[in-house]
Order: sequence, then C-alpha cells, then structure tokens
Amino acid sequence: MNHNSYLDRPYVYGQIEHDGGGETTWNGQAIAAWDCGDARSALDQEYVDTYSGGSVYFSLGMLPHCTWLDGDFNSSGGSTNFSWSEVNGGFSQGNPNYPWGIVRTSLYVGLEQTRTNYNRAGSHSVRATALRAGMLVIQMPSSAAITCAEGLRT
Amino acid sequence: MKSSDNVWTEDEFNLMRQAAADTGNTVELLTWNTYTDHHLHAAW
Repeated sequence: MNHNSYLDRPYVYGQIEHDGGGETTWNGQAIAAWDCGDARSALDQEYVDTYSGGSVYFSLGMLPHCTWLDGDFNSSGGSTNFSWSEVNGGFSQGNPNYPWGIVRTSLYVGLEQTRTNYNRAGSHSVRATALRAGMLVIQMPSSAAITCAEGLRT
Repeated sequence: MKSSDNVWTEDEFNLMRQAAADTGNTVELLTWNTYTDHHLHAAW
C-alpha cells in the first residue's frame, strides 16, 4: 500500500465496467493518501475502505491527518470515569492499531453525562466496552466486535 | 455500552438508553435489537 502524499483525499484507481446487460460497476480501489509511518496509516485506510456498505471518507469526506502539529490521532486521553485503555482498547479482539485512536471530546462528554444520568436511578455504573472516536458509526474491521459509543469516529 | 454491575436486560438497556438520550446531543442511539449481544451503541 502506498500512501506518500499529504493530500486531503485518497488516491483512487479503477475503472467502470459494463456487464453487457446495462449494469455498470466500478472496479478499483482507493488508498488513503496520508503516510503516518506507523499504525495510524492503517487506521487512516479504514476511513477510506468500505465496511457495512459505507465508507467514512466517501460518506462524510473525512480523512484523518497524521501530522504532529495538527494531527487527528490520539495515543492517550481519558476522562474522569473512562480511561484511555477503556475507550481505545476495549474491543473484544483488541485494538490492532494500538496505541492510536481518534477520540473526540464530544465522546467523553457524552459518556460522562450518560453515566451521571444513568446513576439517577441508583448506584449503577457504566462500562464502556468499546468505543471509538466521536462520531461515526460505520463498523470497521478493527471494531467489528465493538460495542460502541462513538464520538466521531469522528 | 453495558452496565458493569446490573443484569443486562432489555429494561436495563432502556434505562441506559434513556440516560444517553437525556444528554440531548446524541447523533446516533441504537436499539435493543440492533446487535445480537444487545450492547447500547451511542454516538455524540
């Protein structure tokens, strides 16, 4: 996989194919343009690939940036009641992109508020067993077993 | 999400779902039958 150009859109290769019966399909691939030099590249590619009938990039136009100054990725974080390992590593099959993830503040706020609201009825606690960033909700391969509260994946 | 200290029944699910709904800004909040393991999926 070649991602070497710091562009905001993926490289798209392929062609439209005709089946002779009036149906056309696109046969090709899209490759995330950002080369983060580590597991973030694979995570970036997840935003381009299509899962569960949709692609984050092609649905929402989002392609995370991996530059140090304004990067979208996190390798640490957490809130009062939800640790980083819980929100970014709680997948049933582990996080294949460890230690990276994309978790937005909106997710932490939503989780904490939910926990507070849930506790109104008594002493309950919420366990977040697989969260991803704050907004998206297309299931990725790495989150296939995710029980999600997503802050984006966006 | 699931409760860590309560039996995860549909009633308990709905209690937590309402707690998430009450945050007022979910962009996705799925239902009991969305997933076979019945976890609550929410997005903000």
